[in-house]
Amino acid sequence: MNAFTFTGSGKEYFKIWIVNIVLIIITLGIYYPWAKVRNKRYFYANTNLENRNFEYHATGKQLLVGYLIAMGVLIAYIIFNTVAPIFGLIIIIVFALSLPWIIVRSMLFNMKMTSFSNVRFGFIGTTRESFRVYFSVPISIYVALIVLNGIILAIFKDSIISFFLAIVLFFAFLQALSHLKKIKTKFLVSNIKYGQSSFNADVNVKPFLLILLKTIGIAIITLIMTFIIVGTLGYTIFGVEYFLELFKATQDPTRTEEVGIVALPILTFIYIILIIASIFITAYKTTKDREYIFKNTTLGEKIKFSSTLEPLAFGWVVFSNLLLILISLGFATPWTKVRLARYVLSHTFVESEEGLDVFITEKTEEQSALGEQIGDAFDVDVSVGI
Amino acid sequence: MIQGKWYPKNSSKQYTSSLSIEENKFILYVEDVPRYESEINSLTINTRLGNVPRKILLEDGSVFSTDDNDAIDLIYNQRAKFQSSIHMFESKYGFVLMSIAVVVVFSFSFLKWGIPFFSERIAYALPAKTNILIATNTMKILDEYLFKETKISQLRQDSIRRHVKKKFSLLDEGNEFNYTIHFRLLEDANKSLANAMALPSGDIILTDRFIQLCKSQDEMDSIILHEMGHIVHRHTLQTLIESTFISVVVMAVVGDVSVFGDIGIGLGSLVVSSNYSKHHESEADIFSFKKMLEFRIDPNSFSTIMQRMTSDYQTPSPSDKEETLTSYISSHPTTKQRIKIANKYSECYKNSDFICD
Repeated sequence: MNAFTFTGSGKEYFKIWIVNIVLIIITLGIYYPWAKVRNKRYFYANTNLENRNFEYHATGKQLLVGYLIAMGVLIAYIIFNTVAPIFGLIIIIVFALSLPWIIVRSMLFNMKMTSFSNVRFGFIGTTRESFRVYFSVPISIYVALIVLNGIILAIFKDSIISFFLAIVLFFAFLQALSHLKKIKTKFLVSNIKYGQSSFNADVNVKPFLLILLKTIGIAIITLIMTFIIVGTLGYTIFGVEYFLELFKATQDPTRTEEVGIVALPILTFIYIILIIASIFITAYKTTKDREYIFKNTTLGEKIKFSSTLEPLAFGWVVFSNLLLILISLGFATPWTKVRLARYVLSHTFVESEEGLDVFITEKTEEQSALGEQIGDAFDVDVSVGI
Repeated sequence: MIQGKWYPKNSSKQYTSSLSIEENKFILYVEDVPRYESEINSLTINTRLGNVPRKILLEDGSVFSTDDNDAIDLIYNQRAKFQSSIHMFESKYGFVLMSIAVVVVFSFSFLKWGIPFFSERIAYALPAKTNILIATNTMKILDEYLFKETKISQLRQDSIRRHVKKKFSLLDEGNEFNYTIHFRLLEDANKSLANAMALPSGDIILTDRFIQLCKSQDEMDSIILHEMGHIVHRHTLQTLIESTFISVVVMAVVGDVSVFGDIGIGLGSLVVSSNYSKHHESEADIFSFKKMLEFRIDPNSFSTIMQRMTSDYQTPSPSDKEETLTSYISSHPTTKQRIKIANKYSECYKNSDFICD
């Protein structure tokens, strides 16, 4: 088992980062693609496995057109959404329809622009497949949910049967989401190539469903705990009169403003606790999904992967990073990024029976004319919890 | 001799290798055997980035990789002056410190002056109809949740409307804004509140208590002009654009549109937008004062009505016990400053000046 290592340092990256920002400011944003390339190159090149490193090969010029189009669409969306929300909605629909294509192009481009030990990655997913994973299946799931829910309400109204059927429907929905997670993972991982070898993610619906159910369970428990804690704290600090007064005020429509002011400290407190909780709950799902996907992913026949990220430790890194960014007004960002990369990579392993070196040395890059056609790219960051 | 690794074209196989440089030529040794010899100019060298391994592409497609960045810089910097300058910025502490200063100064100026400036430009660039569009349904919602029906007599209402129409008809910028006066009762804990507000569509709402407090038509006019100032300067639209700007900036700083973004946007807008709204108030004040000089109204009326409204708002009604809960919300620290400027304009008025600087 070999862990990845990250050899970059916060101090070194800070200098690259701050110069990037200054150049972006001076060029009114045009420099952004070049800045992105420098950022990516830094993180890729500092990611090592057995004395070999990754490389990012795209140039700022290649990213520029995609960046300008994306910015144009974003600005158009913001303007239309403020002024005439209906046009904003049209932009969203068009975007949703083109998203599958954008994702394929982006994966294709990003994989082609990434190499490890001088051999590039590739992506063989098709737009058709992508359309299924990112459009028709998710849309069908949500439409089915809405329609079935409507049917249940129409037939059984507010009866107890309707309540039980709604619960059944909810679990069916979770099952469908887990199925979606499975086909997404397969689409994104099993279509990646390294030289002539293929990645393969042998994942199933059931483990994803279990992770999802556990996550929801943890979320519910956290919610209940939060209200118990806030209730007890509120009772000991403010006393019961405060709540009685608050309750009386809520009954009186002329005192809504008052209620707002009185309830604000409590609401803020609950809000902060829930944000912290949601970071750790998300961390739980991310790390568990990642662990499962990595465990069942192979490269070629012999290379296996594993992820040992711990939910609490990972959540703590994410949470404390956020605090550092807020306290430093953003200036700690480079250190937080390096810290996260170092933590995640040191918990990511590659194993092979015959040794990675033997596997790697046999690889040569697949020759294809496709690489030449790629040209400029929409550069969307796609992730499968990796 | 520059030590490194060599990869054949498109292959991941690693060989220990070294590069020896002699004037304009180089010799590549692979496992101590000379393998390749050519002009330095034929090499494609990556730009330097911190201390990450440098990749050098040879003409035959093979790659030489080395950690010895400094040695490569010696041959590289002579060729690509501009490309190497970015690394020079990154490696010199002076430049880095200067960059920090630039970022701090820029961020501060952008928040303080940039966002209001651009929001104003954008608000004016958008068609005037936009203002009406964003106010759709606002009046309905306010009527439903905030206001009650006025107790001002129809006669008084009509006379005020007629007066405003006659006196300020010139202000209706080529009919861009259709100024309409509304009368409503605003109550909090059974206490009638004095207030005036403007919707971007041109609707101006005056509350019953405000009408009661006005001791002269001039006082009422000064506040109506102030509200018109908000409308003419498209302040609601500007606020909308400003909050969009803040959201985008916070997203850029925090990095994504997640929970983190939400906290940032909340905190950011709270701090920044109160600052912007102060700016909007004084802009509407100045509009009002200037128009008052034009229409020969003493700006002093503005100070008198403002003072009366402030003290009316702060007087606790003795019957209300719950008053303690709301007592700390109403403090207007800027009222004093606003009155000071009103007095300055009043001086100009007394000197019969039309322009006051």
